[in-house]
Amino acid sequence: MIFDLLVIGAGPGGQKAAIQGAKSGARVALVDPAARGGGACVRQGTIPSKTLRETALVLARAREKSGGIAALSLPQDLQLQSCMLRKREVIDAHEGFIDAQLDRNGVERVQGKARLISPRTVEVVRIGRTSLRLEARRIVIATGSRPSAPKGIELDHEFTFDSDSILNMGYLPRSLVVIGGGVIASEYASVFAQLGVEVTLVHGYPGPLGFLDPELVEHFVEQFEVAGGRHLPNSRIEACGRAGLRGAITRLSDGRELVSERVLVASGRVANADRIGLDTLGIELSARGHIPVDDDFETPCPGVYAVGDAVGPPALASASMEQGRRAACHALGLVFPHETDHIPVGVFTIPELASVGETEVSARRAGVGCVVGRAHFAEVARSHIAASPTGFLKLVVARDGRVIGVQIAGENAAELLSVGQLAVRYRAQACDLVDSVFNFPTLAEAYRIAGLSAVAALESSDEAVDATRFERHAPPHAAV
Amino acid sequence: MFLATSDPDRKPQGADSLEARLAQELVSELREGRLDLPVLPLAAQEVVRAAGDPRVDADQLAELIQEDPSLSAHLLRLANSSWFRARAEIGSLGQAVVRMGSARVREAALVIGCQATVFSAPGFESEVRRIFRRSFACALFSQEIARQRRDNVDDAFTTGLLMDVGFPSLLSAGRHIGQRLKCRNRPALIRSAETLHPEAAEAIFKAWGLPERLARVAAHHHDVEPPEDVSSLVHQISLASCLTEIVLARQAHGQRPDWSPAFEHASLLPLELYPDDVEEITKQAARVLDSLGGVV
Repeated sequence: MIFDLLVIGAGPGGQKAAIQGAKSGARVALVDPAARGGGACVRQGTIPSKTLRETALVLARAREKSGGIAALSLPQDLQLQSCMLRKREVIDAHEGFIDAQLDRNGVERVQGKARLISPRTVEVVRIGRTSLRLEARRIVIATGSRPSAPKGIELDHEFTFDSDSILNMGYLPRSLVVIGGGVIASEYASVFAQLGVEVTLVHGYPGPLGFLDPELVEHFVEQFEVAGGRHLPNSRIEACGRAGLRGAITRLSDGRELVSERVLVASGRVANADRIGLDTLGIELSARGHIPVDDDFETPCPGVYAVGDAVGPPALASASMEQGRRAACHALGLVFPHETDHIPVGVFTIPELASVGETEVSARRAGVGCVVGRAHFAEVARSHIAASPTGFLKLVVARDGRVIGVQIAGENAAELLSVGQLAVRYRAQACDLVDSVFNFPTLAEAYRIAGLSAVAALESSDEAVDATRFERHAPPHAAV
Repeated sequence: MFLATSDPDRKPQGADSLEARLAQELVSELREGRLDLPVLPLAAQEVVRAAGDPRVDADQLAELIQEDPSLSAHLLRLANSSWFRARAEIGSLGQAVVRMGSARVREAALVIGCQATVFSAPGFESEVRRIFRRSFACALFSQEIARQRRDNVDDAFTTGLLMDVGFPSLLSAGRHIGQRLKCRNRPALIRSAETLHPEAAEAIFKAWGLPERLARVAAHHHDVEPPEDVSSLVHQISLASCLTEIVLARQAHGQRPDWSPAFEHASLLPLELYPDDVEEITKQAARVLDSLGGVV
């Protein structure tokens, strides 16, 4: 029997490709080493780490909301699993939902490790040394990625961990060195700092999260340090391994040595593209080990597609899902129904960071004249009620008044971004946000404040704009 | 894990026989809390405690170990075995402690302590020695499986080592009961101890203050379908036991190991381990054997 579409990998990109295919009436097979859907995102990555983050947030909020009355700290010999008691429930619920969705859509599931034999044939090695071959007219590769360890770093998963093993650490350490400047490193660094661990975040870049707006990054670093974290930018790691009685040592190229109980190496991920037989199809990986694809996510081998982390940045679950849908549509000759230019970015550090569309820097670099409207959460009643008055919302507004980007730092930033995402997507004007009535007291009021600020900036701007469209709005200070 | 089990509540055949009475009295001793539970030797207990105490430094820990010459000698031997993967010979205790790290010192003290007193049953020396040897190998394989699956390696080691810890205590208690009843049926006593050993192990885990979750692993380590919360550790131990049997059989017969049973093991499915994963784990066989040589 020949499938219309065969998808390798049941992570975010793979599931959505399979479901999109099945909804279009195609006969779809989904091959994955795990019995349940979701991929590493559900079992080792995004989902489990967020349950630990919730514990850290509860502690942080309780400290803030008690006004310092409650001296909350965790016992030194606390088992890490105790901070994630809901992990299993959360994973089960999410896997259950994904499985039900796949079943409901009639996606045929095959458990095993897939290897491409030809552009139409996949060999599936199953547990227990048996194997089978599947034929398909089109193939989508969504094999994801795994943590990579730079040279000189020895991972033993007892003292030195990667992002797949860190949540299986026995006890909450007293000190932790986090190597890396990306999303995973920053998220874990801020979470462990909030849990009372002495965290040092070390990497070779001028700052962490280099793809984000510098103001968001600055806010993150500031809050990380307020929580007791130490940030060491521009530091090249020479070596790292177990040392001494109860810990590990990280040696930097400038001679400094960082001694900690445990080390988390989160300095990068490598695509799971090296063991799936791409060479037999004549597909050469990029210099960074990613599968090359065109705008429709088709590889140089016609009929074979690749999506998600396997094709490289942005390596976000949301982006992977959209890529999976797009690849499936193209593979089945369908028109992809909507644009995918405005994929939101959510970084679940403490504080949370979120961004969509252009940043001030990217707009100016692209030659797009813009102004910025700002709202500080200190101006929003809700943030005081939540005892979280730090953070801000930035609107990037083009000279014609159109909202072209939103950046947020602070409580619930990733949720709050959705309003801005719609504004960007539907080309809303800054004055549309000013005209909107938001619930009181909510953080969404920040949109109105930032809108007013943007309108004022446009009005005082030297460059000619159609000022009449802003006339009905008073200056921001009066309005708030 | 190397011991068979059957339903402990099932009434033994010939219930009126001496063997049945022995089995029943053993069950009563265990369930009424009258079984003498083993304790680690004091020196090992101290080292296990100190290795987990962040206020104790390397010199203090080395000093503590030095107080027990037998513990010191064993620890040095272990430090130089493949278990620790030492790159150069370790000559002093201080060096061993610093190079091994607190987690390994704790594990080593546990192994040495268990060998000295816990895995001991007068009259059953050869059986217990065999069980201990297998338990240590099982702990090491268990650790390798955990590493492959990115699971907790400490829990894997502890549970692998102590799964059968109840067996010697049951043998000792059963021997006394047998003497009292004038029942000298050794196979019957071993069968009873095999049947009850998961329950005894659970009691020992609790008495030693090990985490509740690990005590549940001990209680269910022979279950084909263990409870969800301890399932992966139980399956891990089951696979580690299989690997241990293979590697020890090979050693006994001086042959190349036949890994086929490991590649077809029932726990591979719940653990989601594929042939390439199993191959990686089997590569550690030589190291496991060498480490065994460092202790038994």
